[in-house]
Amino acid sequence: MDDEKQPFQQNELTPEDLEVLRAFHMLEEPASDTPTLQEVSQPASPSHQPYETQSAATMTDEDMLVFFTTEADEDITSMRLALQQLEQDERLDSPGLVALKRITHKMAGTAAAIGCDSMSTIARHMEAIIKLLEGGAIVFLTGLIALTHAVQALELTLESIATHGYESKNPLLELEEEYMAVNIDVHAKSTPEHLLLEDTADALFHTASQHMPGTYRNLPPVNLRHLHQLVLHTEKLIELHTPLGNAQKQVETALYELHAAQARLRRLEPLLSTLSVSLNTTSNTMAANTVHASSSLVARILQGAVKRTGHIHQPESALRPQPLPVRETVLWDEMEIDRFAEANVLAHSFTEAIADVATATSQLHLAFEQLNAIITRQVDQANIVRSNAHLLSSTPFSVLLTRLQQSIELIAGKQKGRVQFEVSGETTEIDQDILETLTPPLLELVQSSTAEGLFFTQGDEQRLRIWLNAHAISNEVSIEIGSSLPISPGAIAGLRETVYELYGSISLQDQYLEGMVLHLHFPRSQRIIQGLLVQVRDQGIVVPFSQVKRIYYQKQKPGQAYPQDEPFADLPGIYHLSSLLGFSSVNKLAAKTLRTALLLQVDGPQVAIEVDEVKGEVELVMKPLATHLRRPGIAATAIDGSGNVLLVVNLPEIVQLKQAQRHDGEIVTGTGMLHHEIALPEHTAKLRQKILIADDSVYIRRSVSHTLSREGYDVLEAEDGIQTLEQLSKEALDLLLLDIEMPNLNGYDVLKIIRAQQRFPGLKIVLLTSRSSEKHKQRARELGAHAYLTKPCPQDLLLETIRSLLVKDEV
Amino acid sequence: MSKLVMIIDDSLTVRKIMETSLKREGFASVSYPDGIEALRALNEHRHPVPDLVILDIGLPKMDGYEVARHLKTKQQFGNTTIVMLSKRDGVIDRLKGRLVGAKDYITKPFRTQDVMSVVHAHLSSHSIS
Amino acid sequence: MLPLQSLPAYSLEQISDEEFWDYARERANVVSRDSSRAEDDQDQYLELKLSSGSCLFPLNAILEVVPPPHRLARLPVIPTWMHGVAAWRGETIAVIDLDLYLSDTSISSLDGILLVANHAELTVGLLVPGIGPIITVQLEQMLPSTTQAGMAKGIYAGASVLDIPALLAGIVQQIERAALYG
Repeated sequence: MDDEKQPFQQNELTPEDLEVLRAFHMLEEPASDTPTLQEVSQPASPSHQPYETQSAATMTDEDMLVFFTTEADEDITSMRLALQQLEQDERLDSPGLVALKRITHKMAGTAAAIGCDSMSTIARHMEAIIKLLEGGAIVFLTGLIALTHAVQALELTLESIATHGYESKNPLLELEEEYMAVNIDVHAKSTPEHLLLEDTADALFHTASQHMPGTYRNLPPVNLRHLHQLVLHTEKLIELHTPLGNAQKQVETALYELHAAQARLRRLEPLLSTLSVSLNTTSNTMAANTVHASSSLVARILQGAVKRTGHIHQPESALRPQPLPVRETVLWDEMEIDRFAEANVLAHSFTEAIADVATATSQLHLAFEQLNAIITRQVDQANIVRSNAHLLSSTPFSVLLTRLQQSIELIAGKQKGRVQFEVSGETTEIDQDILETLTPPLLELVQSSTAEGLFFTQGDEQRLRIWLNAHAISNEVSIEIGSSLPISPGAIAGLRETVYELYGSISLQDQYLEGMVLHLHFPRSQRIIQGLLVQVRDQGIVVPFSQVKRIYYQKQKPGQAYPQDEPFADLPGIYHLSSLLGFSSVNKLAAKTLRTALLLQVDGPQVAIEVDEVKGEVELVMKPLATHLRRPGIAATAIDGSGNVLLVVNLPEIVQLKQAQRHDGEIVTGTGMLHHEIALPEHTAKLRQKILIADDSVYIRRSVSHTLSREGYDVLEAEDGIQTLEQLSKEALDLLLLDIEMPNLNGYDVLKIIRAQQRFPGLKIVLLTSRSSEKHKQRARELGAHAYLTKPCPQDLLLETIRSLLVKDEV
Repeated sequence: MSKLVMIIDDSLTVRKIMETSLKREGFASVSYPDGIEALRALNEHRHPVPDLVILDIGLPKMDGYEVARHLKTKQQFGNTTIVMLSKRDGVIDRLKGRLVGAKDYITKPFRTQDVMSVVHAHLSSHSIS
Repeated sequence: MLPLQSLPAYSLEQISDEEFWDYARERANVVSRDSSRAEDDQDQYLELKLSSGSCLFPLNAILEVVPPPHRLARLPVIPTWMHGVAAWRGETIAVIDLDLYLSDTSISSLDGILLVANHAELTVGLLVPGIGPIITVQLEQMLPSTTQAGMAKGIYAGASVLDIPALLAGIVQQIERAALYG
């Protein structure tokens, strides 16, 4: 790079440069059409390096990184030189400072473009310090040292990229610590620059001495009422601790009693067995049922106790009492009076023991119920506390509105009267953190729109209308921003990024003469996600409600093979979530009878995402993923009750990325990784065959177009017979897909005309129609069609027919 | 017949990134490190007129506004859309840009998809403005 | 001074009370020293049998050993040696096939054992075919490593002693890069 002689002399134009300028202004308007791209030639006298050409396309990201490190290295060297110059001059108007400004600005942009955020941040800090220096906010020496350290940090970070292949964040963190220690605030918002423009512009803006009030971080006031509620309910929650403890103690006591009673019962057991042996001889006519009844009664009581307390009791089956039936009379025998008395006493104690067990069990039951009741109250109270805490972290929308209004008034200045600012929904409560995240990009959007709007409609009586509305439905917050003048796409990009971070969606509605409306939707809380649980393959995925407009269902016959992207009726643009996520797309026979798709909230044409099943609604705690696990459109996960990981996706973002990759061929392998096929190289461009689809149905045209362009054909569309003929005469078509039923000249007539004109000998014609009788086929053939397909036509048949017809062409 | 996008930015890396992304989107692109180079190339007799120019503000020799101003003096670039790359808080920058004829802006640091969506918005066949 | 090796039981009865207390105190000190030191002469390692041979994994880097079955979720654009992600104590962690990562061949399957390994802020799940005994490694007897550049601290008794910080950092870095470069 030969313009690196002295970095700070780059701002001067050499005589040669001036020559170029003069030549430019002498350029005449060309008389004919501008030349097509194929005629671009290299500059006649390449005294400087020729500009880069399309070879950039074949670069990999590794190469990019190499480029970047080389460039960054050079820039860092220039920075050092500029710093040296600044140091020598010891003045703020040193050329070194100008050069430094430019290089740091360049570095910030370049590093960010390639993804090295750490380096970009350091460069931006440097820019901020230079501003502080110029504004007199810090001493020259301090600024110089701060800048030197920053350059060192840049070097270290670059080194880490070169050695390890990734950015180390340490130099940036250390640098920031140092700045904090020395009280250099790199985040202080700068005052608006002094404008050196035409006078008219000056009238709009205040000079640099005024600050914008809205730029400092306002701490919204804490709502005292909410705080009071929170404290109250928390106290109530704590009050429940004592009764909880008591109830637990009662359960313990009851359990203890039960065990004691059981023990007593058990102790009687051996005595019984000895007794039963002797009694057996005398009373084996004892009613078997009563024996059984008692034994089973005992058994049942003990069993019941076991169930309730989970306490495994020692073999109860061993307890085979043969107790004396209490009411039966026994044959008296002299010999047995003693034994009988003994038996009686024993029977009595036995009965008592059984009764004790029964009582203890029911006591335990009771205590348990009480405990449960208290636990339920506690859970309810905890929920109340949680929603109170939630409310506390919310602020009314009016806080943001006030700031917006202030900044609009500031920008409008004397023209304040021309701006009509309307708001509604000021009382809507929005989570504080979310509001703070949204404020900077919203402010910027509104400021830019207002400034441009006012400036370019000066002298106009027309008023500039800006209106905002916020409302919240259960867990969704919606904000609408309307402007009577159009909002440029670039202005929305910054806001879009923020909205995606919040798991929300953003869409722009053009009201034509009335201006534009921006719709934002996002979940109320960033920690708890509410959404649809959908099934893709065997995995669960959570889609936040904010992103879904509607759910579509379509019945289909089971056993019907469904290729992934076959159009859903009424939904031309559809993706299957599994292929969007790069999971293996297996063409399988559909066993189910229902196809499900989610319609997204996006700008422009509708987008729908097909999923295997919608399992229901969920509300789960969501946690951000570790940095290395983050993927485009996937930044957090939730864990369900069974311990499964559910990805929380940002569908609008994923779709946007996918649409940007449209021109790459993508193959998904079995392992679920995405491979990028290299785009068709230039020289085969001439071999791309042109196909015209003529059909009055938009849906048919779109879906056929989609299928064919994916296969590598160039596809053109025509709505009726006349357009078909127009296209035929304009373009060199290879194949024509012709519907019969069309307005303004139907398919048959088109065929007749083509045959009569005899101008298109090589053209292959395929009739695509819903009429399937033999008579029609015959007629078509007579008229010169090469193939006849009935609608609905399976994709593979269509492609195969086209392929075979076009192959014959290449002799 | 793809549209031509011209990129003027002093960073080689940025130029390469933009060119790669534009090519992926089906646009043709050329790029120059500064305004003088761009004008020199445009002086060439058969250099095609770009449909869209992405212009950085902080350029050596001649800043972005100057370049835009020069471009707009010539009638053949009357239909060329100019998009400026500006700083995050640059409300003033953007206004200056609009004064010299830029139609839209992209903030730096940018994400490639944002640039592409702006390019598409301005160059798609059915955009009215 | 009594030797630190544990005394046979009968001799404990024969020593005097005072000697006994001294001995007990010493043993207590040894135990507490054991648990408080990070790198020392004696370290506990878990032996892993992988297709490329045996590896030694430091116990202090293992947070939990989880037996199968494992519930894994897929994640887009991940390296071939990564099976997916799993939930562990409320956290989502990457699950990788250690064998495949180290040597491009693998005998492990999803029925293997999951070692939840940790160093500093990084927690990664490593799926291994099986785990072996716990071995005490005398670090001074370790030989310098020749293969598996950067992953192994050295070789001990024929097995590679894994360097966990380097291993985990490398794994995480490559998972991150897979997202950027496909």
